[in-house]
Amino acid sequence: MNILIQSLPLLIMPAVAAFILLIGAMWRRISGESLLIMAVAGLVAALFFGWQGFLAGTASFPADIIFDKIFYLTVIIIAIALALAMLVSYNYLAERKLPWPEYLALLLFAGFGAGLMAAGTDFIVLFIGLETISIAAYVLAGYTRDGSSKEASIKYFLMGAFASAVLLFGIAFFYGATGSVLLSAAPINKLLMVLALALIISGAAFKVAAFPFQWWTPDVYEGSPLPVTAFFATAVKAAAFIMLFRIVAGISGGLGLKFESLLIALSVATMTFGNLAALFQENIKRMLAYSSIAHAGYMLIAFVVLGKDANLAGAALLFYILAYIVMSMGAFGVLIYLSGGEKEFCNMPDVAGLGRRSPWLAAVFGLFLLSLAGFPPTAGFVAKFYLFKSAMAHGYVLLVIAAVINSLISVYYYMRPVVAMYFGEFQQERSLPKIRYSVAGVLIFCAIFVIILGLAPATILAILSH
Amino acid sequence: MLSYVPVLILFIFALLLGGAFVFLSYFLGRPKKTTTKLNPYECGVEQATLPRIPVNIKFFAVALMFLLFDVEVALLYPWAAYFKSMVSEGLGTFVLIEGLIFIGILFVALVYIFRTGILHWENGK
Repeated sequence: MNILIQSLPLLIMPAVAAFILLIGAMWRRISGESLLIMAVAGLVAALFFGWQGFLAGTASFPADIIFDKIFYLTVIIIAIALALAMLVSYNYLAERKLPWPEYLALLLFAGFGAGLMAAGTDFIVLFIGLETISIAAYVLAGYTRDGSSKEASIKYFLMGAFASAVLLFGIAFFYGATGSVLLSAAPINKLLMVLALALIISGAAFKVAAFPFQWWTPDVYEGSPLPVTAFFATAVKAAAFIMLFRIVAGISGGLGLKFESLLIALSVATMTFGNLAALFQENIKRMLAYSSIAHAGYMLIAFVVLGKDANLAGAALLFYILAYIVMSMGAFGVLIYLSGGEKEFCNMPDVAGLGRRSPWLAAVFGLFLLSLAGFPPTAGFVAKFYLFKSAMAHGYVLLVIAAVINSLISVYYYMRPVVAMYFGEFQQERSLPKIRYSVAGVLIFCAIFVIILGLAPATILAILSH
Repeated sequence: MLSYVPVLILFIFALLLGGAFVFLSYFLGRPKKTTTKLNPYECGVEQATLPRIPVNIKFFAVALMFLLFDVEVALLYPWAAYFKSMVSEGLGTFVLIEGLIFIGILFVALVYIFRTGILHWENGK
């Protein structure tokens, strides 16, 4: 019974998803609003039980699942990200008359997959979680009926299936090398272990969009519907990073091998590629996709530190994920606010002159972009500062220098929309949409959160450092 | 590591054999491309219609559902096979509930399929 209560945050999401699917199929005339409220209520419940579980402490489950602090924190973070993604998509789906039950159910199933990825202590559980979230993501990428969305879905599916196969191949070699699929298993055969590790890291690097495996990201992010892109950039990315954290933390325990230099190379290459490629993008959605690659590079720094101080690395990573979720959800939220009933307006000229047309929206967008660039006093600054400081404390000076130079490069492209908003002339006469309350609510929440995390990060950091 | 040497030998042998066949056919065969040769081969009978006929999407949906439930049944076999030994180990209730949850999820999917009307053949929603 105790086990059941402790696994509630994980179980509540698929239960609500199945309920919404069924009620949507049984009772066709139910409105999108009521389904949305149900889904968000389910997420709030997951958040609540997650918090209760966090206070209660670690518990283990028979099937190689562990409910520790990292799991509960991940569930809380994922629940926040999913709830924001749902609320932000309200107008978008309603204006396009897209079906609600499947959309909400897929998001909730993805949340279940993310929770499983955070709870697994063996590769099978992690892989099942990964597939659950990936399949939901493939379907969501093709949720609207226009060509680019379908293209994104197919591209994502083919590349993602390939990456899953590589990961699975690595898991098979891992089993060959250790005789077990437990993450903490000690290798019997070192040579096979190197092969297994290379394949596993490659597969996981695809999912987090790290350097040599990032090519799918811009196309998929650009082609998918905007709220789905916001979901990819926040919840999916967070889950993939938590899974990588589990894998690296688990493996380096039982392993004599050093793969620190590999992670450093991965991190620097990823952030450099993301930042350089983002410099000259005309489409803001695509620019944010490259920016998410760059941020993946920064987050990989935490994995370098992981070998030295797991607690510090975990706290820095979770804080960065949380900050990244609120600021990128906010940035995508502004684009969703601007999008019309038929078309998305994501090009640079589309935001030109926004500073005069709608000063509040422009101010909030500016805040999110500044935060993504890492200006104080925003969440992005504290997250970067904390991450770089933890790397600095363990003597990775060159890595930190590379990251700081990258942050400086990134300022250029984050400032381009800001310059366009305040100094550009708008090119076409397009009346702004009427107030979209749900998106506006999400934007206000994200903006407040970005500032709170920037000014008073101590409480959150104290919670995350447990 | 030594125990894998036969596998390696097998790989090399397979590669050599495959390569040799391609090589031989390249030299011995007559790679003359005639119109008849390039025609699609349909059991030796001459082609009557174009191969690319649009197939109704409903067939695809039904095939997909069949495949899904077929695979799920295949997953239930090991559960059934291990049931007795699990019961003797005192894990009977646990395994039974696990299996029922699995079937319950499938049942939800089935109800969803029925209610969304994919199986309605005539009005094709």
